[in-house]
Amino acid sequence: MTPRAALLAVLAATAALALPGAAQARPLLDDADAAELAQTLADATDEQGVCYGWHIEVQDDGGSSDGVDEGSNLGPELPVPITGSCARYVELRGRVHWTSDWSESDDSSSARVVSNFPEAPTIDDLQDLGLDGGGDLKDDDGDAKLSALVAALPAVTADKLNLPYVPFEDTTIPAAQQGQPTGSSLPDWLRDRWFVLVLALLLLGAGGWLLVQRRAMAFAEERDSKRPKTETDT
Amino acid sequence: MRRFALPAILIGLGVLTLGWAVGCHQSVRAYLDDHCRYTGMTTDRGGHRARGYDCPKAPGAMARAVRSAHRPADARASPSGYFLRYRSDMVGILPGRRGASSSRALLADERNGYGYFNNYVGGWWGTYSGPGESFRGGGPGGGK
Repeated sequence: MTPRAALLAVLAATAALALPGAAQARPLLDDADAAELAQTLADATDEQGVCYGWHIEVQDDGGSSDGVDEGSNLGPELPVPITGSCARYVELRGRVHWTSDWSESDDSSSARVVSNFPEAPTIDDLQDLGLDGGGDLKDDDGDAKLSALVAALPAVTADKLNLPYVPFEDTTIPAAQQGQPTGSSLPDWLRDRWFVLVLALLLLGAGGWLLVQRRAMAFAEERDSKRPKTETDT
Repeated sequence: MRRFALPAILIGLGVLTLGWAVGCHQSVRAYLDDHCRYTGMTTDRGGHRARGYDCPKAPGAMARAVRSAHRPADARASPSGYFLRYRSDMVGILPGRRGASSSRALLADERNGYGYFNNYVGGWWGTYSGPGESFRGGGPGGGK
């Protein structure tokens, strides 16, 4: 375990063992989750020399979760070092507003990427990867969305600046703890071609409707042609 | 019979379109076979197996290309690379061994992929008992 990892572990343990009421709960991430995310950023900083962090301001009108959720490669409670030790930094900044139950306004959230160099990732880069751009931070799984956004910053920065990635490692988690894949998804062809399926169904529907309509017209005409003529018809 | 020509044409086009949508879909494996160089099966320390590929684009560009061709059910990015999940497959796109403009793709079935990439997708795409389990997603459609 590196000295930095040991420090983060101590910080996380201290936060977890804090006397009730002595430390304010983070508005979004749990202490352990924030510590893990900070460690991920610290690994990236060690490889790339770029500092990473997050700073999310939370306004909770109907609860008690007002506050700031922030952290960086320096630790789960420490902001990204804008001056001093890092020549370059990248920070995800955002805001979350949870309205009260009786408010007519909807919950809202947003996020942007702040940095001090022009080639830094943008929120559009993160969206290009299929990640939410910050609009879902207000949701129940906003903590997972926040973690996903922040964890993606080093990879996008590596691409843009031709910096090294953190080396891929086989899992070190015991097999009994690895778990099983869960969750079901649409068939891949349906996810890729749902619009073509809709078009096909529209064509089949329109063709079938026309077929029924014209068959009915043909039947009516045939029936009329077979009806004997009366004096009123002449 | 002329009155039935238009409905017949529409139905015919609908059947052809439906057949194309279902029958002519290329799998993500076929995409990697076409766009990258297959380098053989790899096995990690836990015995999980994956097909290896050397790809001609940087990891981010390759991830976007694969996503554009085959929309994944879920995607994750980490400082080590990009991970895409499909119904039956998982793809990891990592830095290549041939410079900055290359990448290495690992394609595994769901079971092997979850083990191979467990450090990065564990808990997000399935059950998990390791660190940070409290906020991980549990897979597409799996809820929190």
